[in-house]
Amino acid sequence: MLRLEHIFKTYFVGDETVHALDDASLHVLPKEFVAICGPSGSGKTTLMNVMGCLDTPDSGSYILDGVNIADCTDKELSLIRSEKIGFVFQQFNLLDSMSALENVELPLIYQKITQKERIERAKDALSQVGLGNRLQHRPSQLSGGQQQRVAIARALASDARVILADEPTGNLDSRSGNDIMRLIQKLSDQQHTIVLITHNDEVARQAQRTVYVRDGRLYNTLEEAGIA
Amino acid sequence: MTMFLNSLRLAVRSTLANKMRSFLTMLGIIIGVMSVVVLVSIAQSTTSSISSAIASMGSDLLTVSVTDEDVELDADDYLSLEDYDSISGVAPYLTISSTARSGSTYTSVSAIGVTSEYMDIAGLDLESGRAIVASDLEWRTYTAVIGSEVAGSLFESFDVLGNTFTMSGHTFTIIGLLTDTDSSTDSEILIPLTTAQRISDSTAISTAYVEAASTNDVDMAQALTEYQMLLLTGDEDYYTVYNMSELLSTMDDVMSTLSLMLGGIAAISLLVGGIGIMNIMLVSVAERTREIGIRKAIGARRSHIMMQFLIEACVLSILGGLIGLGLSALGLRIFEMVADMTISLEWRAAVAALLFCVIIGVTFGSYPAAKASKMTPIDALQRN
Repeated sequence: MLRLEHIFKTYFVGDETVHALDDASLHVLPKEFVAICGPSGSGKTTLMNVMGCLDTPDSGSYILDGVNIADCTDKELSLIRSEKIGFVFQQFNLLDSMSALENVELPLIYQKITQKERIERAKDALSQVGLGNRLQHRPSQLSGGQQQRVAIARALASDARVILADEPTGNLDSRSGNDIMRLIQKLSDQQHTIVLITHNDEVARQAQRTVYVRDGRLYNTLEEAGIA
Repeated sequence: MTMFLNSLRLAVRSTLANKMRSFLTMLGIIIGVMSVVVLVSIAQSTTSSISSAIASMGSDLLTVSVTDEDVELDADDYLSLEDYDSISGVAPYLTISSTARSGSTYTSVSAIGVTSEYMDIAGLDLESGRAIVASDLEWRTYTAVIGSEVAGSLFESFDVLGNTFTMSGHTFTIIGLLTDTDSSTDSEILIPLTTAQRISDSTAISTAYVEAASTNDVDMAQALTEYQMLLLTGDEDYYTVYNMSELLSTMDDVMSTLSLMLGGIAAISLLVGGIGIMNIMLVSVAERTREIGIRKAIGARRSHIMMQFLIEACVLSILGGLIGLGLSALGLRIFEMVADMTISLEWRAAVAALLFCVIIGVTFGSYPAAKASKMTPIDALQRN
């Protein structure tokens, strides 16, 4: 489903050169639930940005669902983002000026789906995450856990096969965090491909497989990564 | 299309969400539109009221005046022009600046010595009473037909027939009242020409109206009048002959240049308003960086983001334009009441101003919109 080969990505921060991704290769199978684990600054978020087509690598190839991302135009990348990938961010990243329903509808607007179908799908997605009774609430009127569930509904509504979650429980108390993890688990059971980024081992353990990141390199075990 | 409607809905909502800021942004446009529409409307209405005053005198009218002090023509010299077929009437007149008094009330007036044909030729109508007639001239009576403003200032009433006033040491009896025309004739007093000659102690008459038989005869009448005047005075520098329709078109030219200039100056303030919109849109783009990032992450294209901000700029400028138009209509109504004149909203200026608003919205909105659309989603998301 996702195949990253020898990805390099370097940032320049002032005089310093940061190798955010250093020969990173990763292969995620369809319907797999992979956790990517590592300390902050290890390159996890860059990896997720590359996987989500938000950022382009300096070198290496990335093939998503059979499409070589390096060959895509800006327009095609937008389409891939809206149709194939659902993002769940640590900061929720909902639009405050819109209701829960409108937030969930947004990706469908960009896919040019008719209003009637949009509302139907958005309502459906919201009830799947248990917010069927909070359609008209603004993000500011919802708790953190509820906001994150709206964000998940947004990913669901667009019918994305791949869900990229960047520390989805990072800003939540443990009870809401557990709710969110249960929801993600459920999505995994429903044949979604899930990549979850976290620095929390307990969260990572719920995935089928864990990949460790350190200084921009990927390792399959903690021992290899030298984190433990 | 749905994309457009959605962007429009969003734009309206974000305009309403920041009411104060939107209003302040639009203020430049509002003032710009108001100045264009109000100034041009006032200029146009003033022109048309002056034009209609001249037109009411008739476009077949010529004004003759002797400009040399040594040339003395009398009434018959002018009346000889009536022999030509293309000239239907001649009204020599004599203007005396004087002060009229009634009881303890004084008012300065233009007393015009006229023949019985004068009112007809000059296009004046009576509100009440009678006009100066031939026998008044024959008997040199001290009778007067007065304008409405004179009646108002001397007697504070329009019921003035039979009243008397004194002027230049003589007592005049009012025999008629002129219809209100909102022009200079309202402050005139018409008296018999012979009486005026007696008061000024001179038979010399330096001005006359010449009426052409028809509009087609105006040029012919003008040529004949000039010829006759040359014969009478002996030098073409001693007199002038004006053609009213020429005067009218000259004045129209001047006034349309003037309103174009006023419109141009006002358009500059519209431009300044446009810069204000660009300013706020840039702030708005910076403020909504994260929103742009989110939208891009979930599939918005460059063109979507571009359109969203462009439409928002257009909504601001068009809304400002419409508010400005509404306020213009209100302002003109108030001006009408204060200045006591009829002013109609100049719709061409209104349409032009609104069109200009659209252009401003697109022009000044496109830079911030392009800036927003070019953000990479990752940069936009990371900047909080």
